[in-house]
Amino acid sequence: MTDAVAHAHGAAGGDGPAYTGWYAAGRMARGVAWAAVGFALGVALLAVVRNITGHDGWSKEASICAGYLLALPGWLFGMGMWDGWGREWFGHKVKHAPSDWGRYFSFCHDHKVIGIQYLATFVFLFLFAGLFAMVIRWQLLSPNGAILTNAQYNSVMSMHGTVMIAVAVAGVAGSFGNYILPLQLGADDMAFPRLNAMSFWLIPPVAVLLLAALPMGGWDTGWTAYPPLSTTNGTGQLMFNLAIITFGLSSILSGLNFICTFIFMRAEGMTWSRIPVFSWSLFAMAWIALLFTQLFAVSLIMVTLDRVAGTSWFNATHGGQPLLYQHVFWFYSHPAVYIFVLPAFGIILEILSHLSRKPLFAYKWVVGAFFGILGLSGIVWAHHMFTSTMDARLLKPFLITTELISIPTGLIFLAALGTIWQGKLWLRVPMLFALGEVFNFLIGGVTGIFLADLPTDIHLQDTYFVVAHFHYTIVGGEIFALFAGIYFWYPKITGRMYNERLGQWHFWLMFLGFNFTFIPMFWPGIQGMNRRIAEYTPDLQNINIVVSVMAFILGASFLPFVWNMLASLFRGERAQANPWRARTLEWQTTSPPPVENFPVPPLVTGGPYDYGVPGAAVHAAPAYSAAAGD
Amino acid sequence: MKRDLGIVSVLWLVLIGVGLVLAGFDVLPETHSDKGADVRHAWETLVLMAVPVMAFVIAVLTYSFLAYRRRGEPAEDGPPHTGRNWVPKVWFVLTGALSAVVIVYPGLVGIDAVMKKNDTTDIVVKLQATKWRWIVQYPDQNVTTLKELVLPVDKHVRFEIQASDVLHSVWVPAFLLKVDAVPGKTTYLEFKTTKTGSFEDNEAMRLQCAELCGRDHATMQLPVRVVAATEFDQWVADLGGEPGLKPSVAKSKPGGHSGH
Ligand SMILES: [Cu+2]
Ligand SMILES: [Cu+2]
Repeated sequence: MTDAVAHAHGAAGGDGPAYTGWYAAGRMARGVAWAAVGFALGVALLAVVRNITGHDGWSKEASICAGYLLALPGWLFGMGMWDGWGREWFGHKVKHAPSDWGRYFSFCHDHKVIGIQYLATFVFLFLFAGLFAMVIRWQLLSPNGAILTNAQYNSVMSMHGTVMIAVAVAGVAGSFGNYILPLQLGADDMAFPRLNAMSFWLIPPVAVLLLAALPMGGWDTGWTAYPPLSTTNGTGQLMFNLAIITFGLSSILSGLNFICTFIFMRAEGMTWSRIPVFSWSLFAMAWIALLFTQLFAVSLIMVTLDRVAGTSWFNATHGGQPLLYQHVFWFYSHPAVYIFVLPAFGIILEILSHLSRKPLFAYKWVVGAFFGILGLSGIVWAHHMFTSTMDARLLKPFLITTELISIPTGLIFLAALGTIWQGKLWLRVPMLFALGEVFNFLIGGVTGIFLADLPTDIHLQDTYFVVAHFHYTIVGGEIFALFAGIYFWYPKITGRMYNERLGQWHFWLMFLGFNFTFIPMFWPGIQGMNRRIAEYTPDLQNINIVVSVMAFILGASFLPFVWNMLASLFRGERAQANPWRARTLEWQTTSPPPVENFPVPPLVTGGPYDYGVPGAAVHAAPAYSAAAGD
Repeated sequence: MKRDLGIVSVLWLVLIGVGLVLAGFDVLPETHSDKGADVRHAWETLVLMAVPVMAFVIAVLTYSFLAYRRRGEPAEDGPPHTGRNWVPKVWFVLTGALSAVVIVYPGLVGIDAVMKKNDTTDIVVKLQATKWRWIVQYPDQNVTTLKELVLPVDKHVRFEIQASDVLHSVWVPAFLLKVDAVPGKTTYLEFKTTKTGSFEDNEAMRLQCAELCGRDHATMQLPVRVVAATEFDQWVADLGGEPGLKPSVAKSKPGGHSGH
């Protein structure tokens, strides 16, 4: 069977001529050019309307908005949507993306290419925003601020937070969601491959807008963008708004795609109870992305209208309500933390089962827990507003719903512990990251109770206690899972094995660096250091020096990682189809898989985790003998 | 199996012991308000509840990591525990019970405590938040200052808080209390001072803006002093105000930590 698969792989990529990278460069140049034309057109159209209504033609922020509204489709169509959708609409033959390495820089429909595009982009953005974290920790070596002015600090802090939130939203779901989901389901692609490519190519404008904000003075509202500050500050804020609205669009489209793929693209025999847990976690996550993201976009559209159209959603002097923003914003942004951690749970449970050689403990309870979390996530948002002076009648209900989330989350812990209990633990790098994630998320979860509980939150809200807590959930809970997934699926994606020794160095440096950075960070928060400050009181300098030094070690831990990933790409040992002897479907095809994923459609006949179960059927096998086609 | 459970139980108890020792360290700032004492009590309760839970997970995790590790690739599969038995049900009920406890106490009970309104208010302080400073007014004493916030000890205080531009937040770490300042409305914080102290001796005795408000958010702070009543009168007199408190019985005014 392996031979047949390898053979098919060699012949892959038959549709579309083998262009070079020049094709991709040309399409990008066309995208930029069409975006420029779109921008000019938008500005001009607005100028006409404004002139007719008796205003000056150019109004900085309104003109930027109008220009961007047309620049974005210009970019997308230039980049490749025209070759697919556009030409088809006018009855021309569709042009395909190149099939050689240039496809990674093209509007390519292959979910594996898109997964790699997401992975590379978001690992890069993670390291980029990590450098900003290093700058922040450098600044906080001194109570008076070591290097930055207060205004610069606010920009750096806002950039770090915003980019890291983007990494948290799409880093795991965009990369492994796209790459692994169709493979685990036994599908040949996502349900909507073109839409998938569009989701990814919406990301570069996001990055460009955020970077463009810097020369405009950045934005100083963090990633939360609370008005009235965000309706009255510099134009960098507008760039942030447009970037996040665009990013939200990408998220919504991805969410829709994941849901449809999960429901309609499963291989024969892939019944609901045979679906791997990572796919389940993506399914639950995708509902949040589809249903809630629009609220974030709406809140930022309202901020933008207050800025450019003179509305008064949040302007109190004209009857607006600043608190309205917080309700709409957190209605998305609390569920968003489950966009981060649900797929992370999926990854670590997947790895714990395969590398303990044991069934996933309480599989059906875990799936139930995912949906419990999904349901509860929508009715807890106001726990971020306990000190906001919202209506006092809301306090108790939101305290209750928030505390209830610890019940489904507890089931995830049960599954993790039950799975490794008496297992045969194969402590390779992905397993280390998975076990580390369980420890980290324990601390993240328990400290969260202090923030869900109003009587303690009223002191801890907006302090470094919160900062330490959410780094435990997002970095400790999700980014550790991201790295677990990178090492786990590296052989599948690249066809090469990573270097185990370097990987172990990375894990221990990162795990210890992370915990020794963020455990001490709770202390200044409790003692009176609030968050988002460029300066602090001198009594807290010693602890801040400790935190900063440890943070630099954490930062250094990514050097062996980057080297490992790049060097192994060329020098790594050739990976087999299934180096982990795992049962799930992504391992039942070559590494890397051929364009069509499975040369022979798989037939699913058993559960994905039946390790050690006497007489268990294999999870899946080719639907008919491959020999016939060889 | 029995041996594994035995060792994990011992490890669990040891870790609970370690946790209780660590929980003995006082990490909160010295507390100068009555509601701060409620916050402190809620904190201590949650820490005590967290210790056995964290100890359990860490015990199982550590023991599994050490005892079940294999050199190289495991040749065979582990035992097929699928969890299709009573274990998840018991776990579900236990975690449910635990969160019910946390919800009731310190949760709901604590909300009533920290949101309570003063029966009588001894002194009203108007705090005006504006980028990036605090304007402190004592309407009954006819005093306004930008330099410090001075309060008499053992008195019921009401802050009446307004913001003139963007969101700010009133936080005195040593009171363990916080409430936002929101443009377009007045918000309140009511509590009783319980202990004298000053910023010179304790950095937690400061009025700190805790909601990001732009450039100088970090330094939007004011020293706080809680002093004896006579000292307070002297301070008022020095600033040319009218010494003496004018207690008022609570009407239907919103209080606690709220707004309207
Ligand atoms: Cu939340
Ligand atoms: Cu502030």
